[in-house]
Amino acid sequence: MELTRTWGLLIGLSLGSTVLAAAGSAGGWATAAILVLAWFKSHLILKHYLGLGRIPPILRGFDIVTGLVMMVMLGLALAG
Amino acid sequence: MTERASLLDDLPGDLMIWVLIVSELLVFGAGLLAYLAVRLTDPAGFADAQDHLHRVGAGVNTLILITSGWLAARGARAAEHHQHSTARLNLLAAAALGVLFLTIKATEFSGLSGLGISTETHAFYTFYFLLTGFHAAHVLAGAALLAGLSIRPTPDATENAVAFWHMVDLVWVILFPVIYLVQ
Repeated sequence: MELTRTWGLLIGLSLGSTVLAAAGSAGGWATAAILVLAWFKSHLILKHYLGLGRIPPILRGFDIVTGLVMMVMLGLALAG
Repeated sequence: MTERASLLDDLPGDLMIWVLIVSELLVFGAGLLAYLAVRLTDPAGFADAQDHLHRVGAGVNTLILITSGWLAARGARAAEHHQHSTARLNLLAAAALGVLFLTIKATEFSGLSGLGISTETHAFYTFYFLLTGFHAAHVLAGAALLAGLSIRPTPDATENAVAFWHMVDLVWVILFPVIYLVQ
C-alpha cells in the first residue's frame, strides 16, 4: 500500500512539473517550483523505494545534500 | 564509530550498491551543474536548442520510469517473502517498461538526428546527448539485470538490482526537469 501511495504521489508530482513547463510558465518561481518538486520526488524515492525511511539520519543526510545541490542548480538557472 | 557502523549495517542491500548509488549521483550531479554553468555563457542559444526537445515525450518517459520503479519495488518485496511468481512477474514488467523507455528515447534521438542535430551542433546538445545517453545506458543495464533476475529472484540479489533501478529512477527525476523543463 505504501509503495502504491508513493507511486501515486510521484506520478502526481511529475505531472505537476510537466504541466508547469508545458503551460509555458517561465521565470524564477516556475523554475524554483520545478526544482522543489524534483527534490521532493528524490526524497520519496530515497525514503520509500530505497528504504532509507528506516534509517532517518542517513535519509536526512541525502535530503540535505540533494537540497543543497538543488539550491546551487536554482542559483545557476536563475543567473542565466 | 560503533553507531556509524550500525547505521551502515542497516542500509538495505550491500554496502557496495550504496557506494555505486552515491558515485552515480555525484557523477550526474556534477554533469548537471556543469550544464547549468555552461548555460550561463549562452542562455538564448540553450533556450533555442532546448525548444527542439520533445517535452511531452520525456514527461511520458518519466511516468514510465516511475511506474517501472514501483513494479520493481513490488518485485523486491515479493522476493523477500519468497513469492517467486509475483516477484518474477513484477520484475519482468519493470524491465519491459525500461525497454519502452529506451524505445521512446531512441525515437527522440533519431528525430533530432533527422533534423541534423548532433553533439557538435551546440553545447546544449553535447550535454543533452552525453547526460541522457549515459542515463539510457544505465536503463539498459538495469533492465537486463531485472530481466535476468526474474529467472531466479533470490531476495538479496533482487534487493541489490532493484536498488540500482531506483538509482536510475532517482537520477531521471532530477535530470528530466533540469534538461527539459528549466527555461
